[in-house]
Amino acid sequence: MAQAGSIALAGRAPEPASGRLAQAGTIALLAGVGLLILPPLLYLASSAMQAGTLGALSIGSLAGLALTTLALAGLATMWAMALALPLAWLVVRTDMPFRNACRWLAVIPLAIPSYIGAMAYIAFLGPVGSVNTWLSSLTGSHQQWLNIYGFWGGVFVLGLFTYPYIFLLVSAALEATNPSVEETARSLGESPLGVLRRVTLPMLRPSILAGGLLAFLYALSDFGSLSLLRVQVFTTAIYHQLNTRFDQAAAAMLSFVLVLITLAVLLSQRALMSRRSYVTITGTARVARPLPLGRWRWPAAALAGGILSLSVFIPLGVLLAQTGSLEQFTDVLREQWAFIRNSLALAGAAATLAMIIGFLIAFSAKRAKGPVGAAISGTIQIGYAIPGTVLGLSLILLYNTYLPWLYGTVGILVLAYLIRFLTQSVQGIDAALAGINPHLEEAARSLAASPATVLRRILAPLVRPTLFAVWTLVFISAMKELDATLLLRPAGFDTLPVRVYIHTVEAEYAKAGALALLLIAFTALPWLVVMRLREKKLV
Amino acid sequence: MRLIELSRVSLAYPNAAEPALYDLSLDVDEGATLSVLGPSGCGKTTVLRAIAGFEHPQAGEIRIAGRVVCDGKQCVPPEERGVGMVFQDYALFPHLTVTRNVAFGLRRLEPQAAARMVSTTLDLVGLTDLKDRYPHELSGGQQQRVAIARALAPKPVVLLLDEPFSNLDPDMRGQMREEVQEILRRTGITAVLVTHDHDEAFAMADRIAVLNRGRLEQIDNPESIYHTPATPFVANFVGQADFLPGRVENGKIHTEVGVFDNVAGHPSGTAVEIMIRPDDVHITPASPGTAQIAGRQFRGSENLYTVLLPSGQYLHGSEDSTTVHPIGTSVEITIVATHIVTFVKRQ
Repeated sequence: MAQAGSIALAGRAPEPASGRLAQAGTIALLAGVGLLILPPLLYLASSAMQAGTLGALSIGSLAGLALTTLALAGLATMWAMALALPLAWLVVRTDMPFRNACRWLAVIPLAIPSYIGAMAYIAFLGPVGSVNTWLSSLTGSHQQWLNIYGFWGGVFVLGLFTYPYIFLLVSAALEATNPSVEETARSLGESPLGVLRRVTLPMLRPSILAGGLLAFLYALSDFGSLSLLRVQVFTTAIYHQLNTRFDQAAAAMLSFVLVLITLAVLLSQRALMSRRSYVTITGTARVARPLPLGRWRWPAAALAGGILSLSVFIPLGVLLAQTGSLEQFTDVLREQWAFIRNSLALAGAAATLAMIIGFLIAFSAKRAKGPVGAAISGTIQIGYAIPGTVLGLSLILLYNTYLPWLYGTVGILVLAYLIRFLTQSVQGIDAALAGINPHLEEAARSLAASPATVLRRILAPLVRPTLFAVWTLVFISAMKELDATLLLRPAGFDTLPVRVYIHTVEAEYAKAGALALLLIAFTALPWLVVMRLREKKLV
Repeated sequence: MRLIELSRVSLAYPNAAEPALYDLSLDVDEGATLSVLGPSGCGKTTVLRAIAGFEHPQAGEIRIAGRVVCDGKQCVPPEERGVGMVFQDYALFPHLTVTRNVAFGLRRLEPQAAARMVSTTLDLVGLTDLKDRYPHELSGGQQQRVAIARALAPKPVVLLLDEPFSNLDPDMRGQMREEVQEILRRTGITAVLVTHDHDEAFAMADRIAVLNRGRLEQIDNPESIYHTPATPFVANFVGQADFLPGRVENGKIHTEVGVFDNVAGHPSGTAVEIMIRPDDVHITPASPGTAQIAGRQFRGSENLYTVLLPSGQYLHGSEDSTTVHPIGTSVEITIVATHIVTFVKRQ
């Protein structure tokens, strides 16, 4: 029958009974994803509406909070750009010494969650931090020389630990830029500096914007580092309302406004990007020759070294110094072993589920194409864009009311991680599936393989390396998650990030440092393994 | 007047086993089109990039319009050379419209003069209607015309074209070739065109420089390159050629298909090879003939025959497209060569 169909509908993929079954599966999957992500948000909105009057919050304080939050995110983004752009250009385009080492050192801050960065800088520059203590002992006065707490500390720390997003995108774009475009500008009379200003930078604008947006959204949604640094922004205010004042309505109101701001940022970005649709940088085999810096080589290396000191060497050094001896380190691990086990099990479960569900979703979306596929990926991306604190609150509100048996279990944590990180898995697998030559699938179909066989024998083996990478990515994200975990964890069920946070708040920097180092190792090592295997083409 | 002169230019890339250019000398007259022809990796693009100033030869001298732009030590940067370059991949600025791409090199002009120049140039290449489009909204041929317009707008002393037609579909290629030729003719600009396609070189150039492994094999007009190639490499590269062994005796060259004049004056007794082009070969059925048809390729305008000679050597001959000899036909071969080209036999 299938054969008859394929003859009758020459040129069109046959869709016999199995196709309809797949269709039903797709719709069920879509409904499942929708149920996972949308109800918490809708319930949050309705709670916020029910609060009606602003209650404890005045319009003025809300506007002030919005202003502080936006200013902090904006300044942190500019600071991140100021770090990322020169570094990317020096590393990719010049003959700066140690540029290859700088290149991989520059992405290390991605493995340092911002709350660990904040913790390190509190231990370094805080009121009782090493620098102030040292300066006091030097001068004999107990004046506080430097203070990392507050707004500017938040800007400083967030910029330091989000610049790699911009660095990665911009250095990749710089590498992909066709050198003949810049050479053409030279032959049309531009000096090297003019080329940078009139050609290179404008061509990089989309990558700069995209990276800047990631940094901005990160700063907007960050709770951990800003809470440790005692900055009043939306996320910390939500936590305060919920945990100190027990005012769920006010927390819902604040969350709702933060979600609206986030959505507005995302929508304006989409509008901005669609107008600049020229973002077509054609790759070439030719690599631009590094620009000789001459006598500026070493000053440039010093600048790069400064950036890396602030974002890598100082934080890691502080963590090591705080941890003290190996013996102290192992003592902490023994004492905290249960929490470490919690983190590993939780992240492992979330990663495995996200990988399986992600593959099914990506595969269905590819088959569904058009509006259905777009709806799925759009819904999943919402989950990613919601700040962790807001997600935590909406899950509390919804499940406390309707599914109280789930609330207060580990299950709700896995659910939260899925909502937050499913998009990483879906997008990764989506890209891998899109990269598979459609002729492979068609060739298999023409050799009488059913869609299920194609999935099992062609697509699954081809995306296996991506599945491995995606699992690692979600595992890392889940290991680091603090904001939602802090709100949702069952009583007594702490994770590594939660312990780092608590010990920092209690100024137990030795314990916080040891756990932070362990956490960085748990996030950095799996990623290094993936990169290594990928280099050797093993995954 | 010689507009571009390369004398004894040598250039080696770092870590390369062989130099990219070796002791290369060539020149281009004002208003002429020179084609640099050769297989991939022969250094032809390097010649262009050295003229433009993107590569710096270690030895030799390059002059543009009488000015030394490179003497093996000091090099004038590209932006001060006044050359227009059209890249193989067009290299259009993706963030600028057609108009602003073309206006890019006109910053030193008054805005009004620049606008006039842009519109004249767009008119010249026939793109006035598309002036507000972005590069990705254009077809390959249109992108190429933008690239040419952009290079021409600042009135460069020379236009350098790097494999300009290789990124186009075959059916567009012939059309663009004619269009570019017309643009070059109307502007009267001096041009250097790099290509690996001898048909393209023949069609476009006043003179052709054939390069092989960084060395100049021959520089001459297209007819001479085809009919009297200086080396076996050139003979092979610019068209189908067979090399028949022969021997010089009594002032003539004796081969199995006939006797030829010893034009090159090889000493008696020399073993030589004579170059035979398919269009020099005439095939007539004869029984018994000395040779045999071994194969036929129908090429539309002609039939290309492979003929087996008694010695076991194969020879190619073209006949018009309606003359069909079945494979195995016994034939007689006559060679009518207007140009007799011989090389001393290679080992």
